[in-house]
Amino acid sequence: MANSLFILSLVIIWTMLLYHMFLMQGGYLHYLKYMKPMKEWEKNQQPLPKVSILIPAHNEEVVIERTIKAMLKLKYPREKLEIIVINDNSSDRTGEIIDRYHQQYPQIIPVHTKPPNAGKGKSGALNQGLLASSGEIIVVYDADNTPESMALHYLVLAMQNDPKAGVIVGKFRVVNSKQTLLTRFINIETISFQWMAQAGRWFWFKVSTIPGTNFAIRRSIITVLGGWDEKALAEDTELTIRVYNLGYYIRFFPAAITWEEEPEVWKVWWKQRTRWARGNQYVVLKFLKQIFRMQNKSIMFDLIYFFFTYFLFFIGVILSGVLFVVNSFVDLNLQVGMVSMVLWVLAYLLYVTEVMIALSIEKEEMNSKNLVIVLFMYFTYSQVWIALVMYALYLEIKRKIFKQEIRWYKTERFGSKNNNK
Amino acid sequence: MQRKNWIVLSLSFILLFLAFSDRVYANQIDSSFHTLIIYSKNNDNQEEMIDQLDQLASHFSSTVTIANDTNLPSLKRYHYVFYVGLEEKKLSPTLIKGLNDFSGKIIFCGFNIEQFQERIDLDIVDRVNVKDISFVNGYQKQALVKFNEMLTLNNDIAEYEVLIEGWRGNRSYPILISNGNDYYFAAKSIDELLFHYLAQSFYSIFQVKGQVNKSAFIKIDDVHPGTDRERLTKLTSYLSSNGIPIILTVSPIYENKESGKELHFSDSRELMRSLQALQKKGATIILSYPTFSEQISLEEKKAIIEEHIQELAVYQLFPVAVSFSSSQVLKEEDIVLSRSYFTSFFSASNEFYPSQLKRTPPLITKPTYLDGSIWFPETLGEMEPFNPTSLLHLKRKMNELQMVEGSIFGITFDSYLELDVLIELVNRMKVISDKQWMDFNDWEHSVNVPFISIQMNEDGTLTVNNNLPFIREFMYKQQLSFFELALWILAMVVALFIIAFFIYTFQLKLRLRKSLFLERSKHGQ
Repeated sequence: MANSLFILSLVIIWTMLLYHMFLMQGGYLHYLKYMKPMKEWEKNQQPLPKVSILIPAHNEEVVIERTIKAMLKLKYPREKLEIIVINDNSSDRTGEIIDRYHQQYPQIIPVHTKPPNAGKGKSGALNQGLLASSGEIIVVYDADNTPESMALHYLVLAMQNDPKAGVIVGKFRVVNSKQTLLTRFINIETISFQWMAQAGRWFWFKVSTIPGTNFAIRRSIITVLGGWDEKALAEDTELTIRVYNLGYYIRFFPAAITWEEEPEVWKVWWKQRTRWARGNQYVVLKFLKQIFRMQNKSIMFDLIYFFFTYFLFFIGVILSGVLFVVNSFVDLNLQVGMVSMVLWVLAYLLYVTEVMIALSIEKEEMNSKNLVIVLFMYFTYSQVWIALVMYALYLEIKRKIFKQEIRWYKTERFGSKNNNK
Repeated sequence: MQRKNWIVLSLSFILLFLAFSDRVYANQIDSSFHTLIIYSKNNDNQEEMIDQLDQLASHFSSTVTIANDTNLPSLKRYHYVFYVGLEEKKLSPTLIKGLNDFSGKIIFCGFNIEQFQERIDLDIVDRVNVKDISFVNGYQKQALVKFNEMLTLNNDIAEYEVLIEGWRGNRSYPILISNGNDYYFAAKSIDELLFHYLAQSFYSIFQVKGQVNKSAFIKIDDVHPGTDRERLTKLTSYLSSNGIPIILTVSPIYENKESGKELHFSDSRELMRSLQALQKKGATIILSYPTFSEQISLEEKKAIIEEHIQELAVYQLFPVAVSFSSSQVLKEEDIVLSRSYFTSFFSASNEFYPSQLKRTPPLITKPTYLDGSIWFPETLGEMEPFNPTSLLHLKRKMNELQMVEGSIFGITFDSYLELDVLIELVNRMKVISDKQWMDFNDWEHSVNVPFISIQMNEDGTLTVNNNLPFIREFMYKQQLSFFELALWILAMVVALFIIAFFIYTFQLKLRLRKSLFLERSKHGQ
């Protein structure tokens, strides 16, 4: 029995790790070649479409001004750009700041949500913003984002030159990475396990997930899809699947960069990530039933990957941990000997080298301080993640059993200055 | 010059004689006689008696054929025919005529003798239980373990030669008689003692001169990765110093019943090296036939036997024969399976064995059911020092076997027993007159399983062909399951990727440095 469980845990864990290793290889290859079509695209010089940027904002007084300023610096013709800032039921000065900027810059369009459409979370706000927009291309940024000036240009350029792409997603970086140990962890996580994994999935399977910010979607598509799902906690993942089901793919184009603020304290991080995890669990359960009816087989594969991440992987890790502890006290007569220890060491080394590749891509990220943090991160941050996924699953099960209403947790902002750029 | 030639010639004759006397048993097995055993029975099931006659006849014949009386083959090529009436039955005129016309000797056994008046004029009138048997003009009476039912005759047998007679009180009954050409064996079944008497009588039947020398062997049993190396060394050193060839029954796996853990020779390297050294010095390695659970399929059995041989071969231990342990529950399929891999068998008798191995013949044999393989019978069973009955049994068996010329005294000695027990056994065996210790390296043996072939010639040369794929050999040496092997392959793949990722990291670092340098040049910094 113990042996079977141990083998099961090894299979689950290593399925995930191997898949990740494979993605890292793809991510690296994608990094080497993603800029190559740029020259050709720039030559095409098609007339630029009108773009509507949607920025949902709920009590964002700490960060919204900085975000609006960054939007105004975007290198895109003013007459073809509208920046719609949706003040969703804010009780602070968010609305006032937006209105002030609107008076000064007409391309800033305020949308103040009103009951019954107010305070419905990010999806609800985006749907309100969509109603007020007129652009051919819809671009979404979170309220704490400061995109680089060329970010929008790259998103539009990629979309114009890739008709099969329904959505173009860029990459995001952590603006406050040097603020606390937690933001350093998040910075490394963002570079390694979000954008590198994203690049890997795109490279191998032409699959990418909408990250919730710094992405462009064709109006025609979001209209056909009926906007954002207001029930979904992870509206970005949910929208991803619907886009693929429509027959389009989502292109990952890391030339478009945005900087965003990440939680500086563990409590805020825990709440934000619990929402993410629950959101993804919701999406997996929602689409798993129709998995074999999906048009795009790659997204079906991706859904299985999500299922592994949010359901099986942590079970495998916990199982293996429990067996390891029990075996230290009682001989469970595990028949997989030396090789399991070797694999454990290799898993750690793999983790470290994967992160090292990702850090090497970014300027000044591959430094000794980050390297020490990476060595330490495996035993701390990554383990807390496992506990978090478990907790999120518990909440999701509880919500299902007691038919509780979904509450959208708004991430608390800190208004830190960019210490990276 | 002539004188020198004489010396060489004389020496050659002496050497030839010595070689001949050493291999006397082998030569008898290689006899040119062809023997047919015909049996009458209403169903097709063979009986133990047929197997026993097969065992004895095979010692004296080149080939033995067994046939039901309804399927009579042509008798032309046979030198000897055994007719065994297992049941009373009216025989077909073809059979009666065929046997009546047969020019060689016929040995009639059991029922239906009255239908062969032309060959031997005898009638069965009754049955009697005898308790003792004896050779006429030979050994004194010996008691059977239990009453044995014999068929009694009403004829005047004064003109017949009685070879074996049974006794009930003071009255004797002929068991084996001859009219000068043919024989009649009056027993309905053959118990152990009668088996020995019959074996000795076969020398007369086949007109072969018996050998005075007896052969003996002590087989050290139950050697496995959990065996106490020091104790084993004491035992083998003692055997060696007394000129007794070492025979070891080896199993590549030992399962600790309490912990459930399996030990392999990779866990007992010193013991493995000791065994290799013994083998190099001439010890004979025999595979201990694995013990199987009741539910196991034939295919699974095959796989296990093949794995055991392959594993031993990987450890440079080359089994040349197989040995059945008396504690095993054997089925007929085990015999069939073994003979497909081995040409030499070791087995003691066991009441629960299939009829083919139920009783040990007193002579080395190659019965038909072993399909050309040789059986070295462990006639003395197993040394059980703490069982007084067993010791008495050993003494009695040695005494019984003494009367059979060229008989074999084989005994199993467990490797966990102490040296003093072995010394006691060797001392006990000193009573065997004209005894020669058997060296199995003087025999031809062959073992064939997929990828491994082991051949031993009569001159003791061992030829091994090992074509095991590297992966299989690696798995045996490291004792890896397929899952573990898969994990090691996985580990290697991951290690390669880790190296690749390191290289990527340095490449990226260089690339980044180059781009920063270009950026600075561009901006004039």
